[in-house]
Amino acid sequence: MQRLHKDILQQAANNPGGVAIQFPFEKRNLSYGQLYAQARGITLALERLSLPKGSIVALYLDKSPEAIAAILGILMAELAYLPLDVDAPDSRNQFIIEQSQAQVILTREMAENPFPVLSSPSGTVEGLALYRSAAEASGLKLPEGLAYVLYTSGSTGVPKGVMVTHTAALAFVDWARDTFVLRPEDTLTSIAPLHFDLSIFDIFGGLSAGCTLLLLTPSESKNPLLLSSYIAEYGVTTIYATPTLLQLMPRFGKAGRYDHSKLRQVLFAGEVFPIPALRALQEIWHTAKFYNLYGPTETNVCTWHPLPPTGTDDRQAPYPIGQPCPYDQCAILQEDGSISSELTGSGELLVSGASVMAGYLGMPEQTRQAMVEHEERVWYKTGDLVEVDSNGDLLYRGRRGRMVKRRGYRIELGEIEAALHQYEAIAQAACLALEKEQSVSAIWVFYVAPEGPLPHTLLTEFLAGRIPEYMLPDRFVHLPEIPQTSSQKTDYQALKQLL
Amino acid sequence: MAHIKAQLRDYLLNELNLPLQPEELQDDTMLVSDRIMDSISSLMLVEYLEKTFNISFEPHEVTAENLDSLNIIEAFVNQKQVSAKAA
Repeated sequence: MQRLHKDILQQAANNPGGVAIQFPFEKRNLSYGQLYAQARGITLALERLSLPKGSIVALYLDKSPEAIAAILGILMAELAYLPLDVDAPDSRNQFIIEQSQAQVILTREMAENPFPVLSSPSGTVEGLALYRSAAEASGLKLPEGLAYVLYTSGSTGVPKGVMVTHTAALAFVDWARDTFVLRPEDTLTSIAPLHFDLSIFDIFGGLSAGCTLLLLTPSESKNPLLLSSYIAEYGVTTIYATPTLLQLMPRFGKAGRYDHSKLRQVLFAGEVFPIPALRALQEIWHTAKFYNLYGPTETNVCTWHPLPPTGTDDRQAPYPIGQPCPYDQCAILQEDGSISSELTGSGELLVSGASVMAGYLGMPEQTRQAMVEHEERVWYKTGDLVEVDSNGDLLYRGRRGRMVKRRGYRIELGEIEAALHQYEAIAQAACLALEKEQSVSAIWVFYVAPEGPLPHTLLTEFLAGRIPEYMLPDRFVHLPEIPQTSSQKTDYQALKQLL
Repeated sequence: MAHIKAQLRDYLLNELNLPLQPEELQDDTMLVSDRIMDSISSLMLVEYLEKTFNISFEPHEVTAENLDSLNIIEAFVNQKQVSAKAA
């Protein structure tokens, strides 16, 4: 079996002095040789624990060169990594650590142990503390060749761990490196957090090609002016980000002040790019090529569409998500329940092939529900509605169910409601996403509180202790009662009238 | 320089539409730390400050540390105006 990190090791051997990571936040960089040495130290420390192959090691680390070295070190030790979101509430991370039965947690060396489930650190290495989890590994079936687990929002109020093998991850990474012609002279931004699937391209696509990774912290990633100055200062050639961030660049990036002439390609994914915003971006980066990539965490990127050269078309509707990547097949679950593996008509997009996940960690029932068998293949049901246009390209047509996307993140509105229902003063709550051009502009909460309206800050603070920051609602509206349908369910249509 | 705060207060409540009642917006209300102002609102605030007070933010200055409350914003604007005059 090929390993996800194989070519990174090759780069370190061939060009140990090449810059692997630039980390402007601390004004330092790391060469491929240094990255390898750090990773190797972590591998040796992990190997001393004699964990079974493929065991899960959770990372509780800020985005930093050490976090990348840790990822590499974990993979080199033939273990799988699980990146936690350090900004997420402790209760959520605690749940993930327990549910995943992670055997080891790697954190910064620090005085305080963030999770009660952990005992004292069993060692330190490269500035990191190694905690053995008290959790017994029992009953969880891990796939062979597991490389990483990424947790996404779940509709029942608990997050789901998407398990991805080395083989599945490499299908995308190898294709992406060739397709976007990544070379050692390229500098890639690493904007996405490590628990977000866009990071797979940055880390493994970039480093396996010998590129320099410009590692940005979460707060830097929200600052278009800083990003604009970095693109010039570090000679960025390739950006992979969500439209939410990219569309801030024309207005807030002061691009005219900075030299962005080295930028040769812009990859976007995670949500629809509204056309006016895309045009404005193409205007400031008119020499760059643009690509629309599509795929849920469960499949990584599975379709793609290169945009026509800037200024050569006057398309008014969002660009297609395009054609299946060569390692995957797509099919459409038609309205009438039939499945067509010819790309025609419209319905729910199904994906089968090399990049598809091995399942949800410890949730065989949810895994089974997410898949469908057809023509002796197993297909992942994306929950995304598509339509085939006259060129045979797939067009994104929205979501099935109550999942929405914000800043590229998936949000199950049910998960927010579940969190609100834990608030004592709230008798009832319903969540709605305000959408503009198929992307979420705001999340509204309607709630009933017998004692009367509650302050925004109080509600936000409560939720911030339970759900990640990107899920936090924008508006809270107090109602005497939540409208109901005749079957006594929340009447979301009626609530929509209140937006 | 009370007028800076008055202008700011008006902008935050009526233009940015922050989810606050006027009486809840105190001079030391923590806008970013208490998650009242999201990152896009912060960027719009920066744009407004640049235009209204004729100052220019450096890339590393667009941070919560400079935008977290009316007091902090006013101090930052004053300091930028002073250093602009000195330059």
